Amino acid sequence: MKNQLLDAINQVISLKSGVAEYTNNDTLEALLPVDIARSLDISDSLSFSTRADTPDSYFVTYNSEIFGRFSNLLDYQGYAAALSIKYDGYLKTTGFEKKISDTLCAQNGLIRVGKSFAAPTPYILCNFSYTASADEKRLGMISFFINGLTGIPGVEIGDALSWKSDQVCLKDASTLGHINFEPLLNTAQSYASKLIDTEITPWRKSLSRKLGRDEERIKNYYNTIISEIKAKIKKKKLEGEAKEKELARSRATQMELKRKLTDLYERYDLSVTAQLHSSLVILLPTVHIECELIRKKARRSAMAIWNPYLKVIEPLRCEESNIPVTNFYLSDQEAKIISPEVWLSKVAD
Amino acid sequence: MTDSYSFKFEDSLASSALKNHQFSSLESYSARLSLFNLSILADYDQLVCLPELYNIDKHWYQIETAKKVIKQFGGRAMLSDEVGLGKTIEAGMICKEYLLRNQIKSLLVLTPATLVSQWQQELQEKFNITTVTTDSRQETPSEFWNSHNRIVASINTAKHSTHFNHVTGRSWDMVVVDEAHHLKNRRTLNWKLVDAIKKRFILMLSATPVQNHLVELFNLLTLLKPGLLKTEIQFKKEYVGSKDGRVPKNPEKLRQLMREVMVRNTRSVVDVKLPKRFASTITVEPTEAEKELYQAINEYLRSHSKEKTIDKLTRNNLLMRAGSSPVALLNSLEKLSERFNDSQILFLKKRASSIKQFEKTRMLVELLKKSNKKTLVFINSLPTQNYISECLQANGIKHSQFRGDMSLKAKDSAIEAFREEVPVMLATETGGEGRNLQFANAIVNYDLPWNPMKIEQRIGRLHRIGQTQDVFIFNFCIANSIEEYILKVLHDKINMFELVVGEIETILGNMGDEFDFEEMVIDLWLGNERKDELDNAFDSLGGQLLDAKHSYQKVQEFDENLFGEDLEA
Repeated sequence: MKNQLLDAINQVISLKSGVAEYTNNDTLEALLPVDIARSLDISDSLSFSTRADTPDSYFVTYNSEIFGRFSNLLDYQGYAAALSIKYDGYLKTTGFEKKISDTLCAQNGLIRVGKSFAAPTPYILCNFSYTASADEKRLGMISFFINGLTGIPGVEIGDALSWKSDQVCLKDASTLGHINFEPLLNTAQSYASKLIDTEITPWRKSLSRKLGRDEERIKNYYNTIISEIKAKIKKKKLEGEAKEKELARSRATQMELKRKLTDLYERYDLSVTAQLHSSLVILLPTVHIECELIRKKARRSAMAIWNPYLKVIEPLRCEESNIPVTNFYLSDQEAKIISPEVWLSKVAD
Repeated sequence: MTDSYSFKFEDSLASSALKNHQFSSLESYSARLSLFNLSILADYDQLVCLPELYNIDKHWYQIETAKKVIKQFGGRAMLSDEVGLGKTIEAGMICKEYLLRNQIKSLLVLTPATLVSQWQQELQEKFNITTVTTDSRQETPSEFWNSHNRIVASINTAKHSTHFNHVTGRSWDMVVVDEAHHLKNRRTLNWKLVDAIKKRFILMLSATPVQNHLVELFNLLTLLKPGLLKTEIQFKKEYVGSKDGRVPKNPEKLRQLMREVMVRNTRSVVDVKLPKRFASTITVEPTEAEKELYQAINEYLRSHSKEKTIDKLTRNNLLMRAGSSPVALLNSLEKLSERFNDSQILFLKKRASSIKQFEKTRMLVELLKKSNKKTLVFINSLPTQNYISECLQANGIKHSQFRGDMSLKAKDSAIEAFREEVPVMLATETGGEGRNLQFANAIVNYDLPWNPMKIEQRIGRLHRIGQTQDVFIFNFCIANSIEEYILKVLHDKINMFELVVGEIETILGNMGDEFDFEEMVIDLWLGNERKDELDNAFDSLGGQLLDAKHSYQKVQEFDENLFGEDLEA
């Protein structure tokens, strides 16, 4: 297994012009610029080790607070990065008619395949972090790709990122200047909320069970006291001040029950906050296939994408629900792409 | 699900950077991501071990249990999931997590003698944790206990006077006690041993921790968290509501305390719903020649069993192969004749080689011809598998073959062919749990293992989470063979094939620490020659197992009432 802790330290040290070298799998020897060492509050020449018994070394664990200081060193760096992928193979640009007809199907219209040409497609790897809080706090992260051209979230890019030598850092942001990331981010957020929801579902269910159980117990407990008070009034035929005293006790018990239930709901109240932690834009060599979508008199163009890494035509995006579709309907007026679910619900309306 | 759920997105520096096209270097992106991942791992919100465990199914409740034990219980817990939900997996995950985080170095697993090798194998195969065992000990007790850091030990060996001081004389980072209900009594050496061991973390595993009296719970939890339930007298006063010790007083408060040290996942809570399974026995009437061969090999073994000239392994092998096929038996006899120059072996060889058609195989072919199910056929011996493969080919039944000696790639492609193309796969072993076979829904035990746990392991390959269809199990046996008697005990007497995976282990555990089913049946088989003697002997074994099953069911019911569904992860 690679040493995650030391790898992370190594990355930051290299980034800050320091030098680090593994002496073995558990120890990393480092030479740091003086100002960096000072801000980390450590010596400028030292060894980091994940073994407590390594002599003369700075012992690090997953809980070491020094990682917080390393994070601070990054300042504003690393929130977004971009790269392009080299593709040495041949990208064919003909013969996509069959692939399109095998993959995409307009239920109530036609797809006419036009020109195909090699062109890069931007894919954004979105990393969303979240904090979920109820009776405990949990941190998490979900990651997925969104196609920057079609806006489809959750797409795969195959093994395109497997070879470091094929990755070229895009320092010049102008290559991506034409992309408006704002709407993509909105789609990504909505997709991220679904993924996070799925990830915490077992916990939500568990909280719900615990809440139900505790609620029932508390209600049973206090309602028993209230019934006992009522029974006492009836049995002893209490009147006047004595009765009023017991009724006051009953009211107080009811209020206590209400308070306890409020506490309980608060304890099991699950709130999640999420944010984009970082993103990586990847320009991937693909083939763009111009398609014309025809519905009665309405015609419009749409771009289908062939991914050479997966050797598939990617689905198109439902323009109402943003979900990926291969089987779809076209709207009468503008030949908009509509998923069967949305289409059927419209027909039902 | 709870309605009190809110979700909101917050703006972040990352979203501004993306919207404004402010890109940094790949290295800084990578460093930021790595540091964040470490922060998730720091609070155990994510387990470091998960990516390392690819040979097991990992279920959400097992992961939640591991996180809870580490994060909330500080590594000292009683794992009491219902049978079959994977307590061993949870314990393995916790150990692996601590090992990867360098939080433990030494590990001691204490288990009943019969489970030592199983624990060693599971830790190795599923968690890549290498251990030594008391079974394979070569050194003196002092050397053994002090020179190894990861040991799987029989609790009987560990508590023995020659070992006790060595086990307790050193400290252990993690101690795992399997079948922890054996520690229910404070006056036993088992309890005293675990109490005396110097340990930082401890996991106690039992699906049925309390068997008869609530004081057992006090004894167990006191090992985990001394003082949690105060003294025995105070515990009895506060929590025991009846003289027989089976009715709890203040159950709410007791459960509250149990929640601090116990996890008990139940099927209903974790939503594990498995389809039904149906088992049937196919008893094959052998041809006259096959019958004579089977009788001859048994006579040979009975005579040599008294003289003890043949070792146990060879004896079992011959008998198993006689039940498998004449071709498998012939193969073993040929090897045996290289070791012994015995005229009887030569005679048996001649008889075996003269039989060319096997009734059992014919019945299998008939069954497979009629079946439309994806069927996994388990065959122990390779010569039988090859023979059956030829027969299936001759009958136009397409199939793939999965053997223990195949490369990983060949194994994967055998399963792929089974999934996509052919209706039958012949297998000599069950394959790793990580391999998904739930697309199949019929198992044929062509060769029946004599160890019920192995039978269960086979069933568990198909009848597990993810299976959507009913599972059909066909057990083949030759009439009047040892396998037929085994099936009478396991199927007819205790309905083993209707039990939940894991229950048979507990029932066998109730037969006593030293009870070994396999050894017992072979002793009964070879020790009783006449049919009425055999019937009586196996009937009596079946009766004992039935008693063990009933006593397990009683305890299970008691524990269900005591713990309820309050202790889920």
